[in-house]
Formats: sequence, structure tokens, C-alpha cells
Amino acid sequence: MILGALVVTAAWATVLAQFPAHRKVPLRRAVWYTMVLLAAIGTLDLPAIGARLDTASGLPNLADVAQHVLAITAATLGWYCAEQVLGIPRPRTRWSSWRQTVLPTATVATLLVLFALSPARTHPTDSAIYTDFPMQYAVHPEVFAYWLIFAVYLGTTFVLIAQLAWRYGRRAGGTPLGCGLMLIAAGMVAGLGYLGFATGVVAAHAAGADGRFIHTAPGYIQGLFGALIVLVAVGSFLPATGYCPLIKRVTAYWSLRRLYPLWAGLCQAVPGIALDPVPVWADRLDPRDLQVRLYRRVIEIRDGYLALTPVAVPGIEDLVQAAAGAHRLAPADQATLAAAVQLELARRAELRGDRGEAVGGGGSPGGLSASYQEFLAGGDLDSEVRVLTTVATHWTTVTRAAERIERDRPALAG
Amino acid sequence: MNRIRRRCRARLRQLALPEPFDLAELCRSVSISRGRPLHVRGIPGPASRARPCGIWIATDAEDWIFVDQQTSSLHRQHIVLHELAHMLCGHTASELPENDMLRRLFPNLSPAMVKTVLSRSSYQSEYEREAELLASLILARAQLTAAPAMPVTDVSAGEQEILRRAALALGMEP
Repeated sequence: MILGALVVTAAWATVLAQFPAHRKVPLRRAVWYTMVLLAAIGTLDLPAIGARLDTASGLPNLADVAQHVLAITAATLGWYCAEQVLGIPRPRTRWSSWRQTVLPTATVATLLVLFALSPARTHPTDSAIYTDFPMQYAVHPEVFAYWLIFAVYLGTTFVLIAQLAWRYGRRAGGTPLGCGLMLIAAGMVAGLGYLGFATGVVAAHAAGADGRFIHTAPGYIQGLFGALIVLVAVGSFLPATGYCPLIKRVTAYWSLRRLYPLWAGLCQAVPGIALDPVPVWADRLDPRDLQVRLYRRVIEIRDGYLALTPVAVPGIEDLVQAAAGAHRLAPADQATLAAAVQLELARRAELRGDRGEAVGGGGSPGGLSASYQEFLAGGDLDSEVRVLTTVATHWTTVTRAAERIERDRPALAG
Repeated sequence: MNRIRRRCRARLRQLALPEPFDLAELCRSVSISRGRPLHVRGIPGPASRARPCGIWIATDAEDWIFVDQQTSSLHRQHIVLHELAHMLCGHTASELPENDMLRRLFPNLSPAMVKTVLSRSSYQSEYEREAELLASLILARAQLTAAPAMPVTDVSAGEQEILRRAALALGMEP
């Protein structure tokens, strides 16, 4: 009950957080309405709310039917959003119009007729055993048909959105957009799990089977349903978090802290890169001007790197992967860390008063290795922070690789 | 430093920055306000430790900004802005101490033509600190108001467009 209330609160919180922004773009409006419907479905699923609605209307299972109708509407909107995102040019044909309006309307009408014909219209459901009325009344053909239509409609949409979100979530990588899409895909998989589990219970009950499976199902079904709502709510909110001032500040502070050791190490080797140097305690405690300070940190790190001459090491990327041990690095991270190791060798040489072997030279980026070019790809503050945070996160790998190279090639260690 | 910070913030409030921020547009605007052409180029010749990463050379009739190319795009933008900030702050070099460097970098440039040379190599002087801080405030503000760029670069144009629409649907600013 408490968990259910938390899930619903999270869903409404994401809806409210996006409230003013949703009006600007029709596509975002459709996503927002879908989120409202999901939150409403979750609310109706709370026993206290659902039971009150049933009692007030005098119709047992009205809350269940209302949830199913809202789910069909949300799935239709989700389908519309997926098509708009895919951007496949479709002339407004009779088929597309039929699918967008007539099909959902006909589906809802059929569900309502089947419900009206079923005993569930007049008999309550034992909510201790069954989460939806079709599970209890599955032996009645009209209820079985009701559930099949509902499950097929929703399942088709879940598959479509899951495929889309998974494919493009992977393409967007570890960015807020990529993570958001992956969470939506996970939510759709949870939704398919919910439908699969519930359909199993409905089919088992329709076939006259009874046993432990049916009695333990409500916990799994509720869990999958909750996961569907939370994952989709968080996934659709995540890409927009970059615009929330509080989240922006927290993220900037976190990045500032993460980059401090990198910056401090460079300040040791290249004194003078800091415009306004601060001790670590002041950096940690000062909550002011986070965005400007983060920007300064990135520029000063880049100044430090520019002052160093990266040390050329043949097969550097393999050495980095070896230093990472069992942890498999993504190709982009591997390239970034390879450049970071070249610069770390130069930083160590500088601290010893020694100078390593230069790579590139020639005064043009064309002379730099491919991995080094990758390291210089940051075009804005976000991408720069991402690249440098990758270095800070894998600092152990960077230092381990640098130490191994210096050990194996004593000339570099002076 | 606090005094410089206050001065830079006051100057920033008076500046009309292009929205969305566009460095080329700002260069054009500075060029128009100074009534002389402004050119931005990469620093010629091989990289070296002693070479500054950004240089502003003002001749009789033109302004030239030279920027090191061997760094990230954001860093290059910052270096150009640092040199622009010298112009916006009205800095001029009272002497030309870097003639040796100029001769090495630009052997065809006649020293007689050069009126001002300022280079971004350290923050020893107040001019350099002021230009650096103003550049930081400008670009930090530009980053704050800019929509996060689509962070994915290794995808086809079609996929990029789909990701842009997905981002739009999920609340990222257009």
C-alpha cells in the first residue's frame, strides 16, 4: 500500500514538474498527457481509491474498467508519440485515421460491452487474490475475450515503444536522453511482464486450474505494474532534468567535486593555470557560482593539458584496456583514457622536470592520433564535463597504465 | 580579484550578446563597433611549450586573433573570447614585449604595423585576469542559456533527427 502510494506520488511529481513546459510542443503535450493517464491509472489502482470509486458508483469493478480504458487511451497516445518521433512521413490516409481514432474507440466500446455482459458488472472481485476482475471471472467467455483484447492492444504498443526506445537509447549512450529512453524501454518490458503474468493467471483460471501460481501472482503483477509506472515516469522526466535549476546546481556541484583531483594534479605540474585558486575545503563548502566555477575548472584543465605535450606510446589503447582489468571499456572511453594516459605521462615528466616524447606536433590537429582527437571532441560544457569526468572516474586505470608504461619503458620515467 | 569580478559582471550586464550565443556573430558585432575588420585564425607553425594559446594583434587597420588549434572546440571558443574580452575592456599593450615571439610566429609581419599585442599565456597582469574572467562569464552565461547540444555524434543524419525529436518529446528545449 505504502509502496503503491510512493509509486503514484512519483508519477504525479513528474507530471507536475513538467506542467508549464508541456504546452510548448504538440509532441511533448502528447507525452505529458500520457504521463497524466499513467499517474491516473496508478491512482485508481490504489485499493483505497479504487474501492471508494466502486462504492460511490454502485458498480463493482468500475475502477478496474476505468483503468483499462485509460490504459487503452495512454497506449494510443504512446503509439502516436512513437510515430511522431520516428517521423516517418505518412499521408493522412483512411487507414491512419482509422487506427488513431476508430480502432481505440471501437476497442474501448467492445470492452465496455463485454464488461456489461459479464458477471463482474454486479459482483465484486476478491482483491486479496486478484488484481483485476478478469482474473476472477476468466471462466466466462466474455471476460476472457475482454482480457485478450486489452492485452493484445497494450502488448502491441509496449513492443513498438520498447523497440524504439531501446534502439535509440543505445544510440544516445550514457546521456540523459539515452538513459531516459533505456528506462522507458525497461518500463515497457515490465509492462509486457505484467501483461504476460496476468494473462497467465487469466488463462489458468479460464482453464479451471487452481493452485499456488494464482495465489502468489498478485505480488508479482503489482510489482511489475509499479515498475512500469515508475520506469516510464522517471525515463520521460530524466532528459528534462537538465532544465531544472536545483538539479542543474546539484549536477554542477557534483561535477566540480569530481574534477577537483584532476585539476589539482594539473595545477601541480603546470602552475599558473588557475585564475583564482582555492583550497579543497573552500571548493567543497562554497555553494556560489557553481556553473561559472565548473566552466572555469574545465577551461583550466584544458589549459593544463594544452601546456603538456602528450607522450607517444605505441599500442596505448591496448595498454589502457589491460590496465582496466576485467572491466570492459567502451571504445569512446578507451580513446579518451588513452589520451589521458599520454597526458598523465607528460604531467609526471613535468613534475620530475623531465620531458617526454611528443606526439602529433606539426601545429595542426591533423597530426594528433585518432584517440587524442576523440579526447578533443567536446564542443560545449556538457560534453567537456562528460569527457573529463570519464577521465576522473577511471583515474585508477589511468595511473595504473601510466605506471606500467613507465616501468616497461624506463626512458619515459627519466 | 573581487574588484575585477565586480567590474566584469557590470560589463557583462551592459553587453548585448547574441541569443542563442554565436561566437562568429559576437566577433562581427565587435568588429562593427570597432569599425575595423576582425580576423580569427589558427596559430601558424608547430606547437611548442613557450607558445601562447591565444594572441590578439592589432595593426593600424585590422584586428587579428590567433588561437591554438590543438584543443577542444569549447576551449578554442574560450581563447577567442579572451582576446575579444581585451577589446571589449579597451585594453591595449603599453609596450610590445613579445616581438621575438611575433617574429618567430609571423615572420612577414612588420613590427612597425603592430599597435597592440596581447597573448593568453599567464594571469600575471590585471588585464589578463580581467579578460579571462569576462570571457568565462560570457561563455558560462552562453552555456547556461543554450539548449544542451545533442551529445551523440556517431550516428547518421536520420538517426540524429529521430533522437532530436525524442529529446523534444521528453522535455529537452527545442
